[in-house]
Amino acid sequence: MKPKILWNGKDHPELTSGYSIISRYLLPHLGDRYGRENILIYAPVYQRDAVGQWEGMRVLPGRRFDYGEDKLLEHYEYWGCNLLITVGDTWPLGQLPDLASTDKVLWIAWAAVDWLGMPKNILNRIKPAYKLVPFSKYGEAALRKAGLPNVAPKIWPGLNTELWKPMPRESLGEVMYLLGYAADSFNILIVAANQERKQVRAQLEAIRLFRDHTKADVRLYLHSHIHGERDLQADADELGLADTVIYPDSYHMEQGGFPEEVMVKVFNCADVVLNCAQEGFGYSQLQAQAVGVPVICLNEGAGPELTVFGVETYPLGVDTMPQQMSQARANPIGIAQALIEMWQRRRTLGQPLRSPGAVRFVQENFSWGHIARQWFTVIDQAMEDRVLYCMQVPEEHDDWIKDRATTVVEL
Amino acid sequence: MTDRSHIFEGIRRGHDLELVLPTSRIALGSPMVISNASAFSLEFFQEAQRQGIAYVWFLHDYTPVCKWRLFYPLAEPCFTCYLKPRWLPILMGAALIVWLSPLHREAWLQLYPELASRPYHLAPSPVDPNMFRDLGKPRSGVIAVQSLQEFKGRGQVLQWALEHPSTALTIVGNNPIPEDDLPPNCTNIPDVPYSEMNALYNRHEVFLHLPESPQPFERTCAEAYLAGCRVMGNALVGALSWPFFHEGREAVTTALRDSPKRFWEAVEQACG
Repeated sequence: MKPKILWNGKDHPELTSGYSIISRYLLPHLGDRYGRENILIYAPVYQRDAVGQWEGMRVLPGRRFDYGEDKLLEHYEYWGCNLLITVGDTWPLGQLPDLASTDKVLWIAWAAVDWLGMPKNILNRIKPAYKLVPFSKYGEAALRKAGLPNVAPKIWPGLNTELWKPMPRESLGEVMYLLGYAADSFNILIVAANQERKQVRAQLEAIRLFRDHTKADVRLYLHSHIHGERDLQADADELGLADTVIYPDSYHMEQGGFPEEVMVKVFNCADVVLNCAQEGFGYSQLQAQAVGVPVICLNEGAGPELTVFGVETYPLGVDTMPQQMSQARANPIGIAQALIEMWQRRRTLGQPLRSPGAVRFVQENFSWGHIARQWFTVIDQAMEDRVLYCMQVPEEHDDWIKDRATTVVEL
Repeated sequence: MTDRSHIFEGIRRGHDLELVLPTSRIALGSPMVISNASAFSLEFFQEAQRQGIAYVWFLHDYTPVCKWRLFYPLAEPCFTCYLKPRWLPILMGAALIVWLSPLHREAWLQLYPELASRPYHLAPSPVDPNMFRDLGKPRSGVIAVQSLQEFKGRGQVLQWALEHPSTALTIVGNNPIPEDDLPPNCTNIPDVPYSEMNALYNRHEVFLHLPESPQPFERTCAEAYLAGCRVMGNALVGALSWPFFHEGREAVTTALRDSPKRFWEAVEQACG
């Protein structure tokens, strides 16, 4: 059976978010294997009011919400899809689990697990999926520990490994200048959405501790929307970091952010990349290592399994969100200690820390061709199972039934 | 309804019956009557077989544990279904298989011809003839029950209504597609208490039932017939495959009233 896939990537492939990156690079591979007419992209973030086209595939509009399941399920039915793949968060889903539990939708969740434990309300939402494909080994272990029988081996999201490669800093003078970096300053990079869960505040506190302790010439380029869930500029000002932080141009950020080609240069300028949130995946640390730059991550979530060149920090405690989802809280003191370690190693070396091993790790494990092949296995198996397990009421076809249906019996 | 009648009769005959649910902790040991059994695990039956416990399989639907067991498409995948090799040894090991009608057994044997050699009993669904009877009141129009479900014949019944625009058709039971307008001569009554069904049948002349999937029995058909309706059905109604339905109301009354007695006689003989 050939798949007709409704891909709920949430963000349009042309945007710059992690969701967009995933759709942008993986879907052409799926389209080449299964036919681009058989891949329908649901992208409520950006695509509104009309059906669009992208790389020979239809882009279906959303309506009211980023997770607009109402339209999603209408699309599934209207376009005669036989497989739905959702990407990322599963906890906001409401209608889909009900329909999946009655086999009305064959649902594979490529799922981010960025919480501690397994709250019952989330467990009930993800149980009906035909397969849960975690973003990470961490997620796979958590889902298996919860006793879910539908967990598949993890598939990491990929990276454009042709684009994400080390560049000599000497060729990036203009970018260094724009980021506020100097050749001999200690240059920190944070790339994160302005969401509370990204724990930017704790990382800013760590940078202040580090700076006050070492008196180092430290610079931070904070690539985020300055005004979002937090006022990050107010945070930095309050912490006395106003002269340390450079922000991106807000106009460009609001227009969809910077192209990947630019971000490759940005990462290549950094001495260290901070990402101390509990991540379902964590693109920034992967991107950092793709260009050989070390990372500081949190020792909870997907961070440790993605880090071959960097330092893990231990959490300070736990925050519990309204949906009973708990996440590890970053520890500013631990992060500051990790910064000190990185700074000392850099001073000892006398040049930016770079790791060919980290570059190899990314090149060997994260190319989109490699990721796509793992997906082919999952999708092909789903199509086989769809037939084997009768995922819809089989059409009656036997004359034995049809003859009797039209034979009148009267008493 | 069917199980209740059989359980009462079993108690009346002096059997020490224990009602066991899939969620119960089951102490295997005594002969078992498995009513439908779609929720019991394969391992449960394998353990019963291993311990040599006699079990009677009282089937109400089709294909054990199939999620579509209410339907019976006889589709190509049904013949190669992965469930068959799992469950056939369990079915073959039953001391007795009980079906609800000749049609029910015939349909099962299409997919499981191996069962033709196994001991079986046919037990029509018991109906209380004191509850469903002709009250001798004036009648008009046609009644159908649960016919708005697709597998129960939604398409055929609505087509019949369109072809007979001057005949009033009362359709009892929930409409799963409420947004589809019914023909103007149809009246849908979603919910009628069971105790009021006899009076409702008695106001109608004809009971219409045209399912599109084989129905093991269809007790509504028997109830309406005992309530005095003429029955218009098709050859997919299990009840109508019983010869006694063609021998008049007295024969039907006797067969349905005595069904629990015959059921236990067969069970007692099979289980020793």
